[in-house]
Amino acid sequence: MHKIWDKLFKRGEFTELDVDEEVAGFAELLRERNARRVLDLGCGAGRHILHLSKLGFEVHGLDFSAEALRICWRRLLERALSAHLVLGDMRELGYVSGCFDGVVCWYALYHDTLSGIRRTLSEVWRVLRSGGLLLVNFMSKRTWKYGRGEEVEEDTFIQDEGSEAGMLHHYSSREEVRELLGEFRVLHLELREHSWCGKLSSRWVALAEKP
Amino acid sequence: MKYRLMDLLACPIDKTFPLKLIVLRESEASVHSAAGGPCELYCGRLAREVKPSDTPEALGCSTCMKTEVEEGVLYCTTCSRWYPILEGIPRLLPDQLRDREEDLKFLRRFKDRLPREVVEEGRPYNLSGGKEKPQR
Repeated sequence: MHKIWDKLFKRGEFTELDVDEEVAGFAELLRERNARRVLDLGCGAGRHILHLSKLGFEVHGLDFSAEALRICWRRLLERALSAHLVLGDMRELGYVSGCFDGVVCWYALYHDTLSGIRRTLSEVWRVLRSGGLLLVNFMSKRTWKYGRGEEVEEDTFIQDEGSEAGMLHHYSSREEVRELLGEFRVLHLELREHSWCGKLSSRWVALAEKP
Repeated sequence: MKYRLMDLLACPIDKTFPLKLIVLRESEASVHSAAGGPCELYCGRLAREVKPSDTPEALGCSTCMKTEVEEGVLYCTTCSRWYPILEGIPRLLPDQLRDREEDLKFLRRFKDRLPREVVEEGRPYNLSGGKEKPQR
């Protein structure tokens, strides 16, 4: 799967630089809480890494595409910013327990099977300190892509068209998101939707805290 | 990779901390960020635990922040896995996501500068007995 992502990043896909308002808001919240160390899980080419680094956080980024990290590294150097990057798997994190004040996992977690998502969230729980915050989004079943491609398990499909062809997508209900977040204290859970070209994009945005 | 990352890195498989760092090539960092302050648990540059009495001067934090580890190896003393650092980025991938050919190429390139435990006994791949084979 990581080879597909390498190809996409080489082709210039997913290399936009816009900062999503949810992540910008999360960064503000982290600042209010005097958070210092933040991990962007599935950081890709680093649009949010750059933003968090500019704000003065000790920023860490992990992705399993070497090509994405190469782009991210170059962008940091061009802007005289710094971050710590690791090529790794979200499901098996190479960090000590309790070391992060915040974790953002944005447009990344749901590219997996349900068991993979569970493993990632259990690793996020482990590496967050008590009181640490998580911002994460999940694909909703209302999104236009739901049901397309090959179904590999209930609600998980390998997309067969568009730029994400060949990639896993898992779609969740509100109940499932709540269940997946398990022992996290869910501070906010909202369905974010928008239409483009008559297609509905629908995602669950969750802000959660490790008690 | 800055040395200070050693304060956080653990084996992705068995979570052993700290990992052993073998530096093969360093460079002067073009961005000297002090974000985060001195390390809390482990000083990667001095390869020792941080004591409560340590000061940034004693640890040489300013030197550390100016240095980038470009190539090297991270080694887990518990499971014997080794992880390459390439182009300044540590590659802490689980076995199934590693590229055997790339790993062997890396070992062949640096075999004279790496300890036996990595070159001949490292997991998941090594160059043992002149015959390259994976160990599971």
